[in-house]
Amino acid sequence: MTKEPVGGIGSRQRARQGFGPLVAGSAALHVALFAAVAIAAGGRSTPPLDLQALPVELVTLGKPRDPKLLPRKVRPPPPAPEPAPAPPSGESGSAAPTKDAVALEIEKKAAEAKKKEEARKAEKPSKQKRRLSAGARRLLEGGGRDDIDDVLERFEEPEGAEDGFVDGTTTDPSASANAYEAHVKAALKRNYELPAHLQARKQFLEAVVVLYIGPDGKILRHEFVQRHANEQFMAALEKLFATLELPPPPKDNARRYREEGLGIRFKP
Amino acid sequence: MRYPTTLLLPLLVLAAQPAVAQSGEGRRLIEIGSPDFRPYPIAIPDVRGLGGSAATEAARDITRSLRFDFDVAAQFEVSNPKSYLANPEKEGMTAASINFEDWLSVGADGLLKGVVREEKGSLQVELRFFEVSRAQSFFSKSYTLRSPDQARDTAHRFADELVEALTGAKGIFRTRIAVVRKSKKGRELYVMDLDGQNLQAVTRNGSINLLPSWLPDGTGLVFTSYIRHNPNLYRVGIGGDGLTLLSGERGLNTGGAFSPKANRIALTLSRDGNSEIYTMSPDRTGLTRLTNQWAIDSSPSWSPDGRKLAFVSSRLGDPHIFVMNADGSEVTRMTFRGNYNTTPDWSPRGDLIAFTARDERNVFDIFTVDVNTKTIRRLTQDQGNNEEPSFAPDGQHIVFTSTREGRSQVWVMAVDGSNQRRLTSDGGFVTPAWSPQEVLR
Repeated sequence: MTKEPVGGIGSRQRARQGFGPLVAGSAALHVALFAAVAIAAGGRSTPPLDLQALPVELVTLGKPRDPKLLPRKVRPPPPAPEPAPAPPSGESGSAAPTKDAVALEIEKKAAEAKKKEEARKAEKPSKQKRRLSAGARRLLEGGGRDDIDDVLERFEEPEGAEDGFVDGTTTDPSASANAYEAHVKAALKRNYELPAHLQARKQFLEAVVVLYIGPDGKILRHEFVQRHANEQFMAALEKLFATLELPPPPKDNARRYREEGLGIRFKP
Repeated sequence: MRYPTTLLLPLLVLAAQPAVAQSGEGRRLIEIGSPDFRPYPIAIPDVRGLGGSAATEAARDITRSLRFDFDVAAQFEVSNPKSYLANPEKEGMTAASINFEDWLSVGADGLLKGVVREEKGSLQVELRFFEVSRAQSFFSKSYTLRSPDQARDTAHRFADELVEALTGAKGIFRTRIAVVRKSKKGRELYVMDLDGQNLQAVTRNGSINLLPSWLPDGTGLVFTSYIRHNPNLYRVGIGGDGLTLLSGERGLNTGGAFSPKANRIALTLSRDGNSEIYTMSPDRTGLTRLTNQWAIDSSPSWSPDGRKLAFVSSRLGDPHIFVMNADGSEVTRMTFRGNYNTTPDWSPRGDLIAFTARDERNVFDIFTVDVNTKTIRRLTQDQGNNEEPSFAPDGQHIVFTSTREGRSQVWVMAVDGSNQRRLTSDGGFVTPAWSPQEVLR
C-alpha cells in the first residue's frame, strides 16, 4: 500500500469536492441576506431621520440680488412701538405696548404710504425725471445722506427673481420652492381643512409627514415623522391624503418624489 | 489563489448597491398653514385684589406680568384691555359666572382670569384659563404668597405651566438674561428677569467685564474681566460670589463657554501670538488647541449635543461662521454671504445658528443660518443696529441688543424675527446671554 503524498492529486480532488458545497452555501447565504435587506428597505416604516425643517417659500418678483450679499426681507418689519416710560430701576415697569396698538399704528402708516405712492405714480414722467435730477444735483452739491437715500429708495427696483411671484415672500432663491413644490403647496392649501371645533386651538397643532408621490401624482403612501396627540387633527390629515389629487411631478425629479418623498409640515 | 465566481458574484452585487445617503443635508419641507393664521388671541382682564392693599398690589403685579409674558410669546396675542366688554365686578372665577359671548365679541379664544384674596396674613392667588369657544375651564392653579413681592414670580410660574399645558413645551418666563451694562468706570455684569425687572449686579469691581455666558446648571456665569489689567476668564456665582480665575494666559482669554454637559470649556486665547480656539477642563487642566490658522479664530459656541462648535474665522479673508468637531476636526464653512459675520449662537434645538452680520449698507443685523442647508435668513432690518443674539432655552426666541430707539437696549423676538419686544429702558446694555431653562433664583 502506498501512501498518497500530502498535497497530492488525491488530496486536491477531495478538497474540491468539499469546497463546492461550501461555496454554494455561501452564495445562498448572500442571496438571502440581500433579499432581507431589500425587504427591509422596501417595508421601512420610518422615514429617513435626516428630515430637517427648511421652509420652502415663493421668491418674489424682482431683479436678482447679488448672491454674495446678505438677504433682505421682502416685507420689512413694522416700526418699533412707542417706548414706554422708563421706570426707576428695580421697580416693576409697565408692559410693552400690546400688538393691537402696534397694528393700528401700522395700518395708519401703511394707508399714508399708499396715498403717497399713488400720488407719485400719478405724476408725469417728466416731473419724476426733474425730481431725480434735483436729487442728483443735491448729491453733486454734497447733499446729506437723507437725500441720497430718498433718491435711491424712490427708484430702487424690488429684488427677487425674474420668474418670481408677485406674492412671493423671499428674495432668496436658495429657499425658494420649485415650480412643482409650489403646485403641491397650492393643492394642499386648497384642500386642508380643520374641523371647526379644532379652530380654537389650531395654533398648537403641528405634524410633519413625508408624502411619496407616484409619477402620475398619486400619493403612493405617507409616513408621519412627527405626530400630534390630537387624534381629530390626525384624522383630518389622513382624510386629506386619502382624497388629495396632486399634479404629476416633473420627470427629472419623479424618482426622488417616489423614493425619497416630499416633506410637509402642517402648522397653523 | 483563484476565487470561484460563485463567491465573487455576490460581492460584486453588494458593491453595486447604492450607498445609503448620509449627506447630512436637510430635506426640504413645505410648510402648510391655515390661510387665516394668527397668534392665539388671549384676553387677560385685570386680576382682582380682594381684602386689602397687599392683595391689590399683588393683583396689579400679576396682571402686568401675565400680559407681558403672553405678549412676548410669539404664539399668543394679548387683546387690548380697553376693548373688553365684560363687567369685572360681576364676573366670577367659574364658567357659570362668565358671559363668554362678551369675550367672543372681542375676538378672544382664551380667557385668563385671576383673583388675589388676603386671608390670615397671607395672599391666596387663584388663576384660571378658559377656552372661550367651549365656555369651559381648561387649566387652573392656586398659590399662597407670603408677600406681594412674590406676585410677579408667581405669575411667571403660572404662565410657564399654562404654556406647557397648551403646547407640551416648557415656558421660558422664569428664565433670566445676563447682560453687560456700561458704567461710569467701565462695564459691569448684571442678570435680570426676562421681563427686564429685578436687575441685579453680579460684578462691582469698577473694571471692564465682558461676554457673559451661563453655566449649564444656571448657577453662575463665565465672563472676561480686566480686573487684573489683562482680559482674563473668570467664573462667578449669580450673586457675585465665588469668583474664580479660569484662564489667565498672556493676551486674550475670552469667549468662554461651558459645554452642555459642563465637562469642557471652549475659549479664545492668544497665548501663542494669534487668536485661536481652545478647550479645557473646568479645573483648568487639559488645555487643547483646536484651531491653528494665521487668521483670527474666536467666539466659540457649542452645539446642544456638545459634539461641535460654531466659531468665527477670518481664514478666508473676511470673518465668517464656521463649524468644527469638538476636537477641531472637520471644519465646515457655514456662511457664504456677506463679508462680516460674527457672534454665533447655536440654538438649543440644534437646527439654527444665529449671528450678527454687517450688510452692504454698513448696518448690523441679526441672521440665522440653517445648520443643514446653510440657508441664511434675515431677522432684523432697517431698525438701527441689531447685534449679539442669544437663543432662549426653547429655541423659539432670541434676545439681542438694538439701537433702533437711540441707546442700546435689550430686545427679544421670535426665532423668525417676528414679535420684537423691548425688555429694558435705561440703555447702555450689550452682549445679552439667555439662561438655561433651570436657573438659580
